[in-house]
Amino acid sequence: MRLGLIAPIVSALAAFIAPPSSVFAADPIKIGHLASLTGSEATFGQSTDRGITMAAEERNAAGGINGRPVEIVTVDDQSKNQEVNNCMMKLIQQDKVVAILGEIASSNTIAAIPAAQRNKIPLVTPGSTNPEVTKKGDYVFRVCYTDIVQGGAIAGFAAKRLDAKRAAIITDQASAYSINLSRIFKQEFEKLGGKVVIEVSYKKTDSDYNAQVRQALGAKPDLLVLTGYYTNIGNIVLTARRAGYTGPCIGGDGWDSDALYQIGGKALDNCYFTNHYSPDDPNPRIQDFVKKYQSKYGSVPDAMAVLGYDAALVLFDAVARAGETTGPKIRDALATTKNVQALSGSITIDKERNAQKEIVIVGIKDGKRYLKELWKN
Amino acid sequence: MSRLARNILVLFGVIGGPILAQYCANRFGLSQYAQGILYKIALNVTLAAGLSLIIGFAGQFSLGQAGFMSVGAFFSGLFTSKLVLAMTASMNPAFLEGDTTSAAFLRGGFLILTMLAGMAAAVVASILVGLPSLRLRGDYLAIATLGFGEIGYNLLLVYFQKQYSDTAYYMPNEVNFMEKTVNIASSWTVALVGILVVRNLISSTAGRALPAIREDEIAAGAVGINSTRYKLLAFIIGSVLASAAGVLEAHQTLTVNPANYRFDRSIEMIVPVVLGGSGSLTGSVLAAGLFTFLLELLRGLPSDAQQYRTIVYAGVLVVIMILRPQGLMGRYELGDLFRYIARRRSAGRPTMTLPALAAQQIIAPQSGKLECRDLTIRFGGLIAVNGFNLSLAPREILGLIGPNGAGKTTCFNMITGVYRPTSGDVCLNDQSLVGSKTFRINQRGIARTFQNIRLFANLSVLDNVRIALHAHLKTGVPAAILRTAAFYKEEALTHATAMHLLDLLDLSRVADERAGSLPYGDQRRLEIARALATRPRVLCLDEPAAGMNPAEKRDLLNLIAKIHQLFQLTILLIEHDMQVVMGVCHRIVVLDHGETIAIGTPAEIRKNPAVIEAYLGEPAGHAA
Repeated sequence: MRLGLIAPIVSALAAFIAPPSSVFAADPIKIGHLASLTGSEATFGQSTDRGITMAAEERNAAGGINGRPVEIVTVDDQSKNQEVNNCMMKLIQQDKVVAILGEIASSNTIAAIPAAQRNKIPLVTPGSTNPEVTKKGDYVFRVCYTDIVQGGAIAGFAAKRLDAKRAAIITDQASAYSINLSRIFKQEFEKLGGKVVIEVSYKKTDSDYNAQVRQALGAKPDLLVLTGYYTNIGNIVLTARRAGYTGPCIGGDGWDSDALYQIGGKALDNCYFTNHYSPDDPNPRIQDFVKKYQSKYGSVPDAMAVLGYDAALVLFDAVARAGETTGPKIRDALATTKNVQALSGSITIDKERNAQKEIVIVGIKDGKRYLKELWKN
Repeated sequence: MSRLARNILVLFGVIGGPILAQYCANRFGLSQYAQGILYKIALNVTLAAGLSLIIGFAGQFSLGQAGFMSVGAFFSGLFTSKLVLAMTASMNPAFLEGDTTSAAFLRGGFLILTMLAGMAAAVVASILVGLPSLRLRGDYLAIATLGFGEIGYNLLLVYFQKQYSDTAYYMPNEVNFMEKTVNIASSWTVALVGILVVRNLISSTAGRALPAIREDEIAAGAVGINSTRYKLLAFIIGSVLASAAGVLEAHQTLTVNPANYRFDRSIEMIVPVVLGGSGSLTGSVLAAGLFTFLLELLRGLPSDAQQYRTIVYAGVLVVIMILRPQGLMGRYELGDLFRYIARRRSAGRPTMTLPALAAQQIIAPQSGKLECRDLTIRFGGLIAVNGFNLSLAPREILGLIGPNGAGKTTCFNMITGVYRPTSGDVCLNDQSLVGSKTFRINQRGIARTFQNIRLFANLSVLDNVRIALHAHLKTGVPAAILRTAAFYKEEALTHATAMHLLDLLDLSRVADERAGSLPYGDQRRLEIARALATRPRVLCLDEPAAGMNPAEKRDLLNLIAKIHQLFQLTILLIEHDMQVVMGVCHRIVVLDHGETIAIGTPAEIRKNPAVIEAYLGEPAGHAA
């Protein structure tokens, strides 16, 4: 290639990379976003990036943080643990961000913690539910609930609202999430006086669940607990209904996908699951967000987009209160977060640096979801 | 510079260099991001060096290499979480985390211990995986290693689920200080040691057995190379390097996540090896470094463009593979450039000549007595050779003739251990050879050439002969890797011996040519030179005159006579060409349909009616 050709490409690239000219006179506050934009968990990172971008745009339209605009710098870790450290170092040292939002997959968040701790840069994860995450360092915060909280909510709702006494648990044996949730449900359900009459398991790749369902129904349960993911869940519920089971089924946020209703249809009536938010929530803030998101990206925001948005809100709130934009100050402000009105509830950060908020319980009727109630353990 | 001084300098460079680099990086405030990139390059260079040995040099296509990273990660993770934790339980955490020199050395010591644990586990694992799967070749080996990789992944997954109710293992916070050990100093020491070990191995006579196996495993066996042993050796070294990289990665992320070490990671590791030139250590290592760096540069793109980063990367790979299918460096090494320069400078100067004693040793008469008794082989219902008897006296030249399909080459294959006879016995100097492996039979003193030439086509003429001297080496692989004085001495002797043999067969002028590029006659002679280099008692030549013109045949006759006179060995000659057989053999055995139909001197055979019938297809009387 001749030099004559290279020059315009370089200048075009430089223009592309250079920050857009801002309406603000003040220096922007740079906030990093560590995300899986590509790779096996690409949908997670793309959703959180949209939510965070929307939060930043809204904040800037309203005057930024203490008069300074917010600038989000996103870096892709390709959904790989081994890429995370360099991503973190780039955000911290090259882009000079004051705090970082991310990741979703717990193993990626945990891989990011050493760099955050070493450089005293707060890390706010929108969606890592593994309880270990926030125990790994005092600069790590979380705006979603842990699987412990979620399992407790499922058990509480089942015992107190559904009056369930005899639960049958069906677990995805290749998923740590499912195994954990089943374990916590059992523990909490028994504390509330319920009884787990049988536990059966399946593999994600199974396509026929007759054996498991028959085995579970043989123990005469009045509740089916399904802790896996939506594709399997839809088929398991269908199988159970065909076998004559009419009682309630319940599960966690693994159920959250439009595909669930396509698979299960009306068989899903009398089913419930815990989630981070419900797009049917009449709350005007949520309706406003859903509308804006839809017009901008053309789809209903999923839980990850909402959690990304909420993580950004919590962080902006802390940066505004911190006084100065240094890691330790922002960290201290994050630790004292109280009642931030976010989409997934009113968020307060507790001593373990986890979010305290309501859990959304979604019900299904006529093959459609509705907001059942906001649950507090 | 003396050899010793050079070795010491290399050792200092390999260990001191990275430590010095780390010191400078800290002293001059190189950003942690830049340091992180340098670590990443070292990690991928280490992986490329190990894999280049397995795929590029030994020619074994392994798709399970990431599995060995997980072995290193898992066992070192366990070691650190249990033993290092126990050892540091009573120490002050602030000291362990601190930046004092003593803390750095203590942490470095722990890293060495935990890395040794990871590498030891990888040795065991690579033997367990290698022994059964290295029997397979090509696609089958690739699938088998892929399978082992998946088994490893699932084993770890099940273990973590049972043990921790999680799909990954996170090291306890108390050993977080170990993250500081993963830096330029440690990662580049590992990378440089890895490169050095691989380079030293492949540029030694013992290590050249590996490309020989890659080129032609049967021919490698015929010159006394125990291919199972060498393949396993390459597999172990490559796997240990992968495990060392796994150890570094586990301590950098403080996580052991089996999902990181699946099939896609193995492919990611193979890319730079193929791209840089799969028979070139230099190419593989440079490509690994370069591409790690380029991918990191692309990280600077804005978020909506980052999604195309991997597409750009993949596009570059496709373009390179189309423009240069043999890889960026082909089979060239950095050393080839130095040698080229050195050769131009030293042109005209005399090279080392072989000491007289050694020269005598090569042609020291050591002929043997070869006997076949009732040798029979059946392939299913077909009796290929039936009750074959043969007795070769020391220094005899015996011709084995017969029409196509008579079973001549099958007899050769039974003698040299390629086939195991159904019944009967083959004895060299009254010791049975039946059941021995090909390479063992060669080491016992039987060398052969092949009907359809089987040279190590992509290696130099000199290397073809040097490799055949392999079985007589006194210094082995450890000496080659450590570059001991004895190694250098023997290497020089090997070189001179090979040149001497090439001289005898009039091939020294093409010593540096690629064997496959020689004219046909030269290839035949090179194959004989290679067979002679194994210092045989009995030399078996399988149709050496096939495809030669009359002038070449005359040269061949002279050559056989010359070899016989010089080396005083026993020669068994399969040949179609009567001119060659009659001209050089003392006695002739005629084989037809697996049966011996005549034995005698050339004059007797010429008149034997059964032979004439077998060759002309009619009774002798009618033919006349």
